Amino acid sequence: MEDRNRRLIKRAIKGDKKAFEQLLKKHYQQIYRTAFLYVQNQEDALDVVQEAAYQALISVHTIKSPEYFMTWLTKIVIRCSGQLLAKRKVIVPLTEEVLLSLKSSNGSINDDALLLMDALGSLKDSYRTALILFYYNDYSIKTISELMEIPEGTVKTYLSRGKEALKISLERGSLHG
Amino acid sequence: MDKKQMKNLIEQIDVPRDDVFNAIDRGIKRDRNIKPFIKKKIIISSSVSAALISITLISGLFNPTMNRVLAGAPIIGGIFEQFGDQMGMQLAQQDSVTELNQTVTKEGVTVQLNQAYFDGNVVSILGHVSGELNKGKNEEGELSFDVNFEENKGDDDPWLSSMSTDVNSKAGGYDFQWKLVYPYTTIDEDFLLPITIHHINGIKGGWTFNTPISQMKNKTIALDHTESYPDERVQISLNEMKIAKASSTLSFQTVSDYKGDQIDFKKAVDEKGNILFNYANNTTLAQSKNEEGYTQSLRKSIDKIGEDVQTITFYPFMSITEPPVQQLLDASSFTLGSERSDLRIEVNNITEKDDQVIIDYQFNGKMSNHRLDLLLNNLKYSFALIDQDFVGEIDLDNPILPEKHSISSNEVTLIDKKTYQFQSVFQLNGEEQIDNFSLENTILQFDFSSFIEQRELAPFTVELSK
Repeated sequence: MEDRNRRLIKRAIKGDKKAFEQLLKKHYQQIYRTAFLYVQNQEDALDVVQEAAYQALISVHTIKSPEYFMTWLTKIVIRCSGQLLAKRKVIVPLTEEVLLSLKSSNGSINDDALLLMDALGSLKDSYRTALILFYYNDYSIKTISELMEIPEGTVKTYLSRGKEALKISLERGSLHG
Repeated sequence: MDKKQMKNLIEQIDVPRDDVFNAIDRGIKRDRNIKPFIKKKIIISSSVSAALISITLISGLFNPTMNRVLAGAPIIGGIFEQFGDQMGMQLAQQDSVTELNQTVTKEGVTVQLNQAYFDGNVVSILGHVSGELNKGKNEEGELSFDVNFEENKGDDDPWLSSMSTDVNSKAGGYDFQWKLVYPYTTIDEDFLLPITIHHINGIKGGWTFNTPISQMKNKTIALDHTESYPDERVQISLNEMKIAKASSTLSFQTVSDYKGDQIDFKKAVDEKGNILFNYANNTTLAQSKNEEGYTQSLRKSIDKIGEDVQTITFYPFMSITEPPVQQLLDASSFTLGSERSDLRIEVNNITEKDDQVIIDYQFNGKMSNHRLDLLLNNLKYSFALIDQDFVGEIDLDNPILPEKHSISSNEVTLIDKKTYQFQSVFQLNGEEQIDNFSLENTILQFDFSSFIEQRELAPFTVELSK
């Protein structure tokens, strides 16, 4: 970890709000996209970012080692996304309506990305979490097992089953789409 | 699709930078002891300016000198405003902030402690640091303290575990605000808080202060009210409410016979109809399973309750989670019923044909979501076929279905929209399979949780004993 980043994290752990803010803003894309992959709309993703920033701020002092800052933060983002989804109590699929609004607000996003999000959205929570952490956040199986609090073997199972389900869902999506 | 491709696709998700930054700011600014209420800030400033306007208007005479004086007056609580500290702003307005004016200079660095307040359980200290800060090891614009409170040393200091520091560069130095959560159960009304700053920006100095902290009159109202909902097998106990100058906290306990139920308040309203909070977040203090059931102790920060409030009406609600129901497929028609709602699935027919299991059923009862597309989607994932010999292996806390002995998804078709008649088709040779499949040896599982409506519990009113 580069020195400056490490120092920033250390300051944040000690309660320096400015350092904490800088850290979050440094990683804003990853935080937002991780939330978006779960909740699949901008408004909810921003709510998750806000809640995660708050939750992270009040517990940042509990981090024992600066190396774990990002994994710890990702865990909070995922937890907040899950809480928001649980509140909604429904799995909202990407309907035509949502797709259209997404396309108009994101001129550049291509159909494959939308298809992928739709497919991710249709997976079981556990599969989706494992896939997002592995493919998007680049975490190792060991780290994912710590994050999800499940054995490494189970992570592997989730990944292989999730990948398989995703493949099927994507194939189906491109056939229909 | 490989990792790189997937990542590339995800990176096409447009990120609204300004909105994300604002969301981060809002999250950070949200004070631990006061819920975010952006409007309040506007109300405070506008009531100040409204008062100023009315003074000049009522005086009848337009006096330019007077107006200039008013224009030059700092907004009350301005120092707190720069840190986004709404509690401090309210306390400053009420003249409830203690002036400290303590200054210590060491190694060319001057630390001034200017103001302090102690409201509810938060101690806030405002100060300014200036001088030869650049001699230290920090980069420009950085300010760091190595500080301890009372006689504590290093990290083993209960005041530090909740301390937050906010810094603004000001007049060649920095204004700073420390916020500390009072770390002890019993609270002294007035006390001296010894503060030792060992290093600033790595400059060793030893700036010591003995700061008088006086607690704002903090009223505790014992509520001691328990409301039982025997039909739902839920109980809510309101313990107490702490009313400080600028905030209030509500402590309560929920008990349910069922694990996973979430019981909370939608809102609370006083007798005049003022809404005291809407869906405020909780801090979970403890949770346990005891004789009474699954118990949670919670604390909620709410708006300041007015002095003259006599009664508060609480509006509780609950979200239900129930374990899935199971039925052996040795009969071709049966009913799956939710334990705690009127939801039912009447299975009319089950057929095994061409590597498929086809189930025809009717969905009855009041559902949480009437949107048909959502219902269809959720039905896809709420059923499972499980080999009955492996059902016992499922860990209830982490219910992963046994591989090669279960099928967890199906294709749903709407047969009749009026009667909510559906058909689910499970592929026996698909991605998930059951070894040595036979209908008679297979269990159909259904999870009603995502279909059960959030339930409003009867509101109840508590009288505040003064």
